[in-house]
Amino acid sequence: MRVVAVRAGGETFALPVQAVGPVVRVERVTRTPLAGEDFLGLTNTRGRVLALIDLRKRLDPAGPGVSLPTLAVCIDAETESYALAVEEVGDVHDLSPDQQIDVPAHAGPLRAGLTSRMFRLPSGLLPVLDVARLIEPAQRRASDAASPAIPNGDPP
Amino acid sequence: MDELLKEFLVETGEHVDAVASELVRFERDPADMRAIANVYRLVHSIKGTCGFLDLPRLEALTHAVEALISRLREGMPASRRDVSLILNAVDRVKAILAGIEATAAEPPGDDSALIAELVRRASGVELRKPDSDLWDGGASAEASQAPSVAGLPERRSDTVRVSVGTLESMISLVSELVLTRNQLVDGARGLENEALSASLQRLSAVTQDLQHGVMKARMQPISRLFASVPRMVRDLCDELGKRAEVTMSGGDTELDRQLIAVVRDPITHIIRNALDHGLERPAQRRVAGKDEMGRIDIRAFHDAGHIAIEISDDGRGVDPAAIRQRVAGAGLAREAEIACLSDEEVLSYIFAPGFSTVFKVTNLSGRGIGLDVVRENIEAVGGTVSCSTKVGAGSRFVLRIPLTLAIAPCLVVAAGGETFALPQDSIVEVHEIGPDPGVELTRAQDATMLTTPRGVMPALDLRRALQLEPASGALHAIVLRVSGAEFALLVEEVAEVMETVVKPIPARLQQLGVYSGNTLLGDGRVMLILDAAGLAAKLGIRRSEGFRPLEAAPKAAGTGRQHVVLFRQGPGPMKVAPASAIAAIETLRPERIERFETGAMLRSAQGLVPLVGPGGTPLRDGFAAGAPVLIVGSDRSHMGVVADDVVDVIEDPLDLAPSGTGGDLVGAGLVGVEAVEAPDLGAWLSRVCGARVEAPRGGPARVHLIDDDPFFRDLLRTILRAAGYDVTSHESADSLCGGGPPPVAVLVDCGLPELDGRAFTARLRSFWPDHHVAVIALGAHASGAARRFAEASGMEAAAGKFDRAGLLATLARAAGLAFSMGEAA
Repeated sequence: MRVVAVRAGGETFALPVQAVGPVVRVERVTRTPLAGEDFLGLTNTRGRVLALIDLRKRLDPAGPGVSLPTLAVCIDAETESYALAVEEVGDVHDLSPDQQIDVPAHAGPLRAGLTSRMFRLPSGLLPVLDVARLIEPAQRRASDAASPAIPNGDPP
Repeated sequence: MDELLKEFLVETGEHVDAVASELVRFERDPADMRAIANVYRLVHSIKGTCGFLDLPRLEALTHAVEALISRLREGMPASRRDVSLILNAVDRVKAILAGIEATAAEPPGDDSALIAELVRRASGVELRKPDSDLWDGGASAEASQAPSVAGLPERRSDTVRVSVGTLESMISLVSELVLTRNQLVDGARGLENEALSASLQRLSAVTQDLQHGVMKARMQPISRLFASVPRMVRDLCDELGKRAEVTMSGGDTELDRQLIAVVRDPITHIIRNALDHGLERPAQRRVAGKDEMGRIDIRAFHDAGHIAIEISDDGRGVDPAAIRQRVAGAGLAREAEIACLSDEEVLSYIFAPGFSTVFKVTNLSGRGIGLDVVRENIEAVGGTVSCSTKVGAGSRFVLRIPLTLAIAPCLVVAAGGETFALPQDSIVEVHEIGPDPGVELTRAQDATMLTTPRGVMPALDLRRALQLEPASGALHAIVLRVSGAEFALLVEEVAEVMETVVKPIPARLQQLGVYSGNTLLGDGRVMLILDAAGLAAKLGIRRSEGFRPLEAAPKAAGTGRQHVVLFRQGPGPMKVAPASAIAAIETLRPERIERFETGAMLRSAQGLVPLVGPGGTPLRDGFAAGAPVLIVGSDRSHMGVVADDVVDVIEDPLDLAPSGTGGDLVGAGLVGVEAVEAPDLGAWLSRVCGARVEAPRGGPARVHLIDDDPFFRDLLRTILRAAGYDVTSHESADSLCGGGPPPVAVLVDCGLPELDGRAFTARLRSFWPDHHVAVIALGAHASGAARRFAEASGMEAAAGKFDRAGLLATLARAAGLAFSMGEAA
């Protein structure tokens, strides 16, 4: 699979190429009270209003958020316009299935819920993020993760 | 050709092409179950329509194709032959479609061999000796009966179906273009570059046209809604044993596509109601001397930036006495209250929740929704519904709906350092806490309540509701009305009123229930639009609770109208000027231009008049021969406004919003869907001619305005000036003193601190004892507190601050009264 590498909070993550759109520079956002801490706000790029998710805050709710100006990767989840605020956008990688490893069982529940696959590269481990889950409200995901002990019958 | 058949051809043509491409995708990747499911769905829908339209040949063919595809969908491995066979059948379908398009009937032909082959494959019987002709799509005898597909001309159609998403994204691009244009125009102001201003002008015109075109693309004729009405009326008549004839007009009136869906149920319900409760049985009608055949008349038409849909019947009408009884019986109001209400006010109770259940005589109209839901649905999109009736003669329901949901006037408010837009249609009034008399916040039972002259209501602090840190100590209370319930929203600042292009917000924000959309500001920033109903829900106010009858009677169309001239001049929106200010429209002829040091002047019937261009700047050069010149002014001084084009003269209520930019604008508004701005021609004239406009007979009608709230003072002054009045505004009643020319009217806020209405009126009359000065009390609404205040104080009339048209109409009536009485004296 082809992925784009992005950096947030000093870590490198990958996003599936087919899920991402253009990269934009965001200088100004309109705050959206009540929307959650990972919801950075709304911004206008060429007449299109983008909802910005702060990837750093999304992955680490207790940590600091991104500061403006920032880069953002557009993601077109079912035509609604979202973008992920990231610190850096890196290269496109071609990942082959034999590089894939299991998502570590001891990964934090929040991180595990947001990671769809994991790859081992010469440069290190590269988690591929689940774009659709990233844009869901953080609170709800957190409550899902709060009861990991109960098996929910998901296929292995 | 039949409209239905035409639509079928367009649609099926698209489907058939989609089948082919999906099938090819499936062949390439047999695991792609979505592709085959799509193919199945498409073929199935073609088959369904064929049956409906009586196209047996197509139906038989698609039925066989469907059978085979259904097998593939179930997991039968697809061979190349199967796919070729289906593609072959698709070509046959195309050929038949071409035949239908040419002759409006199915072309003769025999598909039995092809069908047999499809069925054979579908039943899973392997053919030992396949008929290669069918698979290769070669020149079999059968295939040659139909015209060859390759030789067919491409099907042409004069419509293209565009996805709603594409349209929406075009709208956002256009609004961005409008913003960019405005920035350019701002930036170029003051630069005297003719080439640039010419391009800007062109850009401006093109942008305007584009905006217009895109908005129009969202529009659909209301006939889409009307189409099902005759059948419904017929069925209901059978059910009820009544006879009715329905007439419809204005089906070509266009409405935003979103709104068509919104008004469908309310209209259906009102028609059901009319049939069920309005129209009498044939025998009763005969006794009443009416035609046995009842009449239901449905009209749609444009009405001052709205679409009006009128549904009237010639039935028995609604008896106010019966409503009074029912209102009391259902406990909706106390009998003493009901006794005080006028018939009109009583009638509005039919829209009250809990009323329809009383009305529910049969199963029919009670099915699902009542008139209260009709009112809610219509009010939710910023529309109104009203009813008028005459006992024995029938009833008429009028729905007024905004042309589009995409543009809404909003009030910009600030709280906790953030700004938000609040849709104006739910705003009743605005108070400043502290200075405004009779307005105070109290806490009772741990709940914040706002006390105003209107009464006590729950108050919601926006900063609290949105978890924002207070940014300033000042507080304004905005009284909102949602589905009949009033509550106050506390904000820090109230800025301006602006037209917003409403864009949808992502689902994650919508779920919060406090935002309804977002809009782009002139500088490209995004602003959130608050959802008044959602905020009300935060307070526990549900829709439909606490219904109160409408305070303001529905206005008759035609009040507050004036003739205005629409013209284009330079970049920016179309300009508008009251026709009363324009003495003549002349054509610019170079030989009649005289050049002076101060600028060029035109020899006109009004003498030499100075010529001005965009922004009222004196013109010296660069005249386009033949351009229209609006001669503006009074008998003493005139100027010639050189326009690019005079677009139209229309009769329209000039509802101007105060312009945020100030400058030489009286305001901006909408004529239909087009944004217009009204230049301050008076200011231009005084600059060019060095004097203020003076109309004949001692100047324009003079009015005094007394309001202690600067927001309303500015708002009302702008409205009144836009309507041609000479306005002097005062902060308090005491600062108005006698002397000077007599005004035609004095408008006074009935909520002024320590205002003794009776004494004030008497004092006013003593200022100009020889003239009749109309005194008008201003309140949130024309009725209610303001009317009582006016009556108690001996004032002529009451008017609502938020009701511009009503205010202007009341004022004009009062001013007209003053003139005629003055002449008589």
